Amino acid sequence: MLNPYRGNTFFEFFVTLFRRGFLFIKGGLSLDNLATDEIQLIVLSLIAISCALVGVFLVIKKMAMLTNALSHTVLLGIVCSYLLFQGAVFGQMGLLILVIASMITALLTAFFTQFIHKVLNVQQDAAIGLVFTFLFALGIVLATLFTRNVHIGIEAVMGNADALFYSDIKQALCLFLVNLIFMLVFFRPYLFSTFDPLFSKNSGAFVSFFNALFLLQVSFTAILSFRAIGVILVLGFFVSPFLICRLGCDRIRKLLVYAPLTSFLVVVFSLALSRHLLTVYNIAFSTSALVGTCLGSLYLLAIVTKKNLITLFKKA
Amino acid sequence: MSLIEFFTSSVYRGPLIGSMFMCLTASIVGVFAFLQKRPLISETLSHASFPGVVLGVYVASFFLSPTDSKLSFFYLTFAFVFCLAALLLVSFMEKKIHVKSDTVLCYILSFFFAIGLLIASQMQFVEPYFYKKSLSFLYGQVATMTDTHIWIYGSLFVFTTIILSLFYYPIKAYLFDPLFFQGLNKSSRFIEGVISLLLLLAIVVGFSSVGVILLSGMLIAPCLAARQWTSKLNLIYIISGLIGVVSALFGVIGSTVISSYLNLSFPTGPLIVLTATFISFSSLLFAPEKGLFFRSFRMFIFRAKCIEENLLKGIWQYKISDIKQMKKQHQLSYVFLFFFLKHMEKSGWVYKQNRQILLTVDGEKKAKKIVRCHRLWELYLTDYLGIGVEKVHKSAEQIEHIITEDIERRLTAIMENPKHDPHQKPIPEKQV
Repeated sequence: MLNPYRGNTFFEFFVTLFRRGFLFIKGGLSLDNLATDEIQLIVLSLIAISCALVGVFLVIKKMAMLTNALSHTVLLGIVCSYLLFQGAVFGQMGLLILVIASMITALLTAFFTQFIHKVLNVQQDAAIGLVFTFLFALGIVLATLFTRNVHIGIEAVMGNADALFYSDIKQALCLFLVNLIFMLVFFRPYLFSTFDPLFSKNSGAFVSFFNALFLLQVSFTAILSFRAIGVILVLGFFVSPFLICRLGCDRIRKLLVYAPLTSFLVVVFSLALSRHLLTVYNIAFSTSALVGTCLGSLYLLAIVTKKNLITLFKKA
Repeated sequence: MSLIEFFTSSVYRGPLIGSMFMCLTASIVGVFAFLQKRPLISETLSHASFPGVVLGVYVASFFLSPTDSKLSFFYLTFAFVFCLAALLLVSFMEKKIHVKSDTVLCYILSFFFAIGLLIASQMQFVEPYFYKKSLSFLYGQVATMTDTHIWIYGSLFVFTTIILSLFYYPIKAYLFDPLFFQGLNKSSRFIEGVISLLLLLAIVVGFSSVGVILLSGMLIAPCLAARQWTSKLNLIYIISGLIGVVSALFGVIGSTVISSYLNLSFPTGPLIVLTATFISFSSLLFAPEKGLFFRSFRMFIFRAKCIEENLLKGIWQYKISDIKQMKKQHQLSYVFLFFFLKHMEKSGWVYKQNRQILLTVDGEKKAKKIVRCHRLWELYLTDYLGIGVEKVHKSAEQIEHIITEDIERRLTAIMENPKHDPHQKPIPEKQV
C-alpha cells in the first residue's frame, strides 16, 4: 500500500492526518492499515509523554546523570534477560522479558553505584561514570559475541524509529498507561519523598521504597524507549521538556501537565517537519534524532527569547 | 602471533601504538576532571564531540577520497570546535541560568548527540561509505590506522604533555587551593582555560580509539585506580598513564584476536574500557592501604585485638576463668571464643589448667596495663574535663585499646601518678 503521506509538505501532513483521523473514527480505516508516519507518531508521542512525566521528578531528584548511567545499562539488562530466556528473539521481545530486564538494569546500576560510593568511598559522580562505562562495555561485548552482529552497539545508541511496527504501539501504550497510573496513584508519596524526605519518613511513608520504585519506573521507561530512540536520546526526552516548562512555571502539578504537552507538540511538529524536509528538499532525517534536536533547540530558543511556551499557552 | 609482531608489523603497528598514545593522553588529563570533582563533564564533552566528527567527515566527503589520511584533520578540528561549544554552553547555563549541574550535563549530552545522529542520518543515503566511517567513531575502530596516525596522535600527546609541564605548578595550586591561587594574584580564569583546553584535547585525541560513547570511562577509570595506589599527584599522573597504556594494549590485541577468531570486525573501545574499568575495580578492592580488602582486614585485626584485651581484662578483673562464663560475659560464639583463646595461648598470655583459663605473667602485665589505661582515662575525664562520673565508663571502654605508651606516660605526668580512679578503685602500677 502506498504511504498516503508521500509527497506531503508541512501543512499537507496535518491535513492528511486529520482526514485519516476522521476516517478512522467513522470506521473506514482499520488498525492494520496505519501508515508508517502514523505508527511513528503514536509510538514517539506515547514515549515522549511518558518520558516527560517521569522526567519532572527525575530532574528535581537530581537523578539526571544517574539516569544516564541507567539508560546505558539497559543494554546489559536486555542481554542478561535474553540469556535467561533463550527463546526470545532479540529484535522483538515480550513485555515480561522487558520488565525483568528493566529490573536487572535498575538493580545492577543502583547496587554497583551505591556499593562503590558508600563502601569503597569514591565520589558519587566518579562512581556513576565507572559503573556505567563498565556495564555498557560489558553489554556491548556480550551482545556482539552472542548475536555475532557488530552493529548491535550502534543500534543501541541510535534507536530505530524508522522501523517500527504495529507491535511497538502496544508496548508504547503499555508504557504510557503504566507511567500514567503510577503518577496518578503514587503522586503524593513521590512528591513528599522528593521534597521532604525527612518529613515523609517521620509520617510513616517508606521513602526508600518509593525511591526504589521510582528508579524502577525510570528504568522501565528507558527500556521500552530503547528500540525506538536508543539509550542516549531518551535522556533528552527526560530532561528537555522539564527544562523548557520550568522557565515559566514553578508548580509541580502544572509541570506534570505542561511538560508532556510540550513533548507531544514537539513530536507532532518534528514529524511534520521530517515529512516536509523529505518532500521538499529530499533530505531523509532520522525521525528520533529530529525530535531530539527539536526538543533541545526549543529550550535554547526559550532561553534566548526569554519567552516560553507557558506564556504562549496562557495568552492563547 | 607474538607480542613483538604487533609492534613491528606495519599492519598492526599503527592501531596499537596510535591507541596507546590516545589512551595515555586521556588517562593523564582525566586526573584534572577527577580532582575537580566533576568527572562526568568528560562524558558530556565526549558525546558532544560526535556531531563534530560526523560533520567533519561530511565536509571532508566533498573534497577527499574515503581512504585519504587527511580526513583525520577534518574530523579532529570539527570535533574540537563542537566540544568547545558544548563546554561554553555548559558553563553559561550553570552560571547564568542556574540550572543544576547534572541536568545541564544531561541536556547538552543528548542534544548534541541528537544533532550528530541527524547529520549522520542525512549522510546515510548521500555518502554511504563516509556514513559508515563516521559511525565507527561511536565505539572506536582503530583497525584502519596507519603510521601517519601514529605521528598525529603522538604529536598531540607531546603537545598535551608540554602544556601540562609548563603549567604544572599553577594547575596544581589551582586544583587543590583555588583561594590560595587567587591570593597569589594569578588569573584563575586563565588556568581554567588551560585545564579546559587540555580536557578538550584529550577528548579529541581519545575518541578514535575508544569511541565517543565510552571515552569518559577512559578519563575516569585509570585515575581512580591510580588514586588508590598513591596520594602523590605526580605519581597519580604516571600510574594513571601506565594504566591507560596497558588498557590500550589489551584492548587492541584482544579485539584483533577476537576479530580474527570470530571473523567479524570487533569494536576496540568496549574492550579497552573493560580492561581499564577492571583494573580500576581490582584496585578499589585490593590496593594496599585504601583497598576494601586491606581496610576490612585491618578493621578485623583491630576488633580482634579489642576482644582479646577485653578477655584478658575479664580474667584478671572479674576472675572469669570458666569458658561458659566467658561466653556469657562477652557474648561471643564458641567458635570465635576458642579461636581467640587459642591465639592468646600462642602469644603466651594465658594457659589452660583443669579446664580453667589462667593468666601467665605476661598476660597479667598486659591486663593490668589495660585496666590502668581505663582508670587513668576515667580520672582524666572527671578531674580535668569535668565530665560526670557516671558517664566516663563507656568512653574509657573504647579508648583503653587505643591509648599508647606515650599517652599513658603523659596522663600519668599530668595527674601526678594517681592511685585511685573516680570510682575509688585502685589504679594498677605502671608495668615495666
